[in-house]
Amino acid sequence: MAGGSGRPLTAGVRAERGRLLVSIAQLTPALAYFALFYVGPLLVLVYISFLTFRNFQFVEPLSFNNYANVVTSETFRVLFSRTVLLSLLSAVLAIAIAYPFTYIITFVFPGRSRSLYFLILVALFGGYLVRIYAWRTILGVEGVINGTLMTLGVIEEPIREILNGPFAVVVSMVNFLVPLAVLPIYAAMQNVSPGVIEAARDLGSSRLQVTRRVILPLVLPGVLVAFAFCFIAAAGDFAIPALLGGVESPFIGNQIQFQIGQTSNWPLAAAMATTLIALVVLIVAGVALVARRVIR
Amino acid sequence: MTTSSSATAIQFEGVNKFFGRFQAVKDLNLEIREGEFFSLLGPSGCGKTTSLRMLAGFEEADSGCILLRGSDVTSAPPNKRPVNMVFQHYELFPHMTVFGNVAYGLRLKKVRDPELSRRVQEMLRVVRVDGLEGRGARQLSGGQQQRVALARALVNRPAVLLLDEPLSALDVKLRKQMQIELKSIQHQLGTTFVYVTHDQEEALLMSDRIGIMNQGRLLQVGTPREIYGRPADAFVADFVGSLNAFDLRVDEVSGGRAVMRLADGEHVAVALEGAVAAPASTIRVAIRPERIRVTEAQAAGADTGAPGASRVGGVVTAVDYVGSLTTYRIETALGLIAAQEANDTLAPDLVVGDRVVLSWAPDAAFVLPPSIVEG
Repeated sequence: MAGGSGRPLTAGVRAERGRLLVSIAQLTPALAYFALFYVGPLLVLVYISFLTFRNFQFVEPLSFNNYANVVTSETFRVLFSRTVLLSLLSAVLAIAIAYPFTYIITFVFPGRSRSLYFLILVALFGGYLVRIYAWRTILGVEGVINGTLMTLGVIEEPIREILNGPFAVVVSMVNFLVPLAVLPIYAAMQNVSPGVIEAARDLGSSRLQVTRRVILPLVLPGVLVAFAFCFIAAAGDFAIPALLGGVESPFIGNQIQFQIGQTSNWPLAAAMATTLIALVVLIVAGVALVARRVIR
Repeated sequence: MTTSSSATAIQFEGVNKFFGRFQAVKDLNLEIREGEFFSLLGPSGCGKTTSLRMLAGFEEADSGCILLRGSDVTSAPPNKRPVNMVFQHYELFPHMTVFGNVAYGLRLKKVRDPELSRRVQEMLRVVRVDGLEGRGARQLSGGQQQRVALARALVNRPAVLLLDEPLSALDVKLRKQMQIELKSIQHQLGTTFVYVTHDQEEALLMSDRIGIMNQGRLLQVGTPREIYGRPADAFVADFVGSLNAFDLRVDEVSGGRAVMRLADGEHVAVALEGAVAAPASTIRVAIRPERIRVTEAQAAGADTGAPGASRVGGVVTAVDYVGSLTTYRIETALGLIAAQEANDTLAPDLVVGDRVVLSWAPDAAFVLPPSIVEG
């Protein structure tokens, strides 16, 4: 930093330390809750993933065998790639829809933004399974799309591939994720003062330059949170692939469910889950890093 | 004061602006000269900020046109005008450093280093925040933000700098200091400043000329002395400084003056200066409190004041002491009159109930024209 201003006085440093202690004390209940209900179960999960599955029992010794199984199996690798790719695609599409929507309700209709935002919240809490079944009726063989196309004479036979495949999974996933993406982006856009946008215009920016140089950098943290929300929710989902994906597009979540429900191989399921968590964290961190580089 | 050229920087020609059915600006005709410090003064909602925003391009006039150095900019977008604005709440880019903020406009104009750095540094020196260029915009005090906002606008060398109540968020002491500095920066750079404020003292102190607005209408344009000394109507007179207004019964018109004879043999007079006053009619007359001399009744001999001075007796009903000044409120035959005395060595030491004589020079009072706008 230029100017080389002196360090704060020792009294200031001491006061800052005191404030830090107070902050930690205030955080204790939340930290305890977090440790007990999140970190604890996660550690149990990781522990189970190292156990050995023998005669329908989980026993020691601890080993990396389950992980070796996960990494080397062709089946599992396909599942992981499909999960990651379709989730990435869904998350990106959800943000591509949520960003302009939020931009419009924030900056184009500022007077109406609260009620429009409320509508999005209603969609978010509007019954997850109900919406999945709604998509079944829309995309199915006798569904709205096939029905309309046949009535119009565009097709003679219903297109079976619409339902029960990656297309149906992504469409319904995006529908499920858009409200999740709107939430953090909306919060971030609320913090962009309309005056800052005017200042940028006044200093010579076109509308596009305002978005690129001012709004996007200011909203970026919100977009990254939206990406994390969407990607995590999609990668961990198993209901949408199970109900709309048909036999050829299950996610890793369906395999985890199968290992727990059908074969009772909890250690293998735990290894898959842990691998998934690690993968998701790495991808989210990577995306955040790249985005921060690109949008300065 | 102003630059030697009297070229026109800005012209409003018959500009009207509506927000729904509310008319914010009514038939605005105004010329602002190159290099002058021009203030738009008025109460909130008077249309001054809307006029400024039409200059900046944030609002578009519904009719009429706005010329900037002779070219029509009525419908030009904000980024296509050679003007820059200092906003009321500064509106610095929070994700950028001081340097990034000030360099923003130059970078858009493809100005590259070393010229970029040189011009940014030079402007930071002008507004006296050099050394802070690495600081984040969020880490600045209000006064520093103000200076950076000023530099961010001025570095682009705008034809006109627009300032929208830029000092209103600062505390009194800093505001006074910035008023002086702004004025000196304006003199130093010679840039035309259009300054919007509701603070009459600020406008009087800083401006070469002032335009006073009320209810969307421009009431008067003039130098601070003209505005204060000879306000165009009752609203202007009252808005700029405090004022005593009273009805004067015209007993006699002589030598361009209307005179009212009082019961105690004294008289009150006002110079007509072109106003018409028929004998036996009543006219509205105003006088600034600081133009009135207050003398204790016993001490007030026939020698008080110049020949032709107005004199009226009264009783002190209130004494407001504010350090350098004291304002006396005095009940007289003309009604309640406020008179202000500097608390220098000659100041009378009066208390409530004292009998006094008020006097003022022949040219101190003026005829108050009726209000131009209703209300």
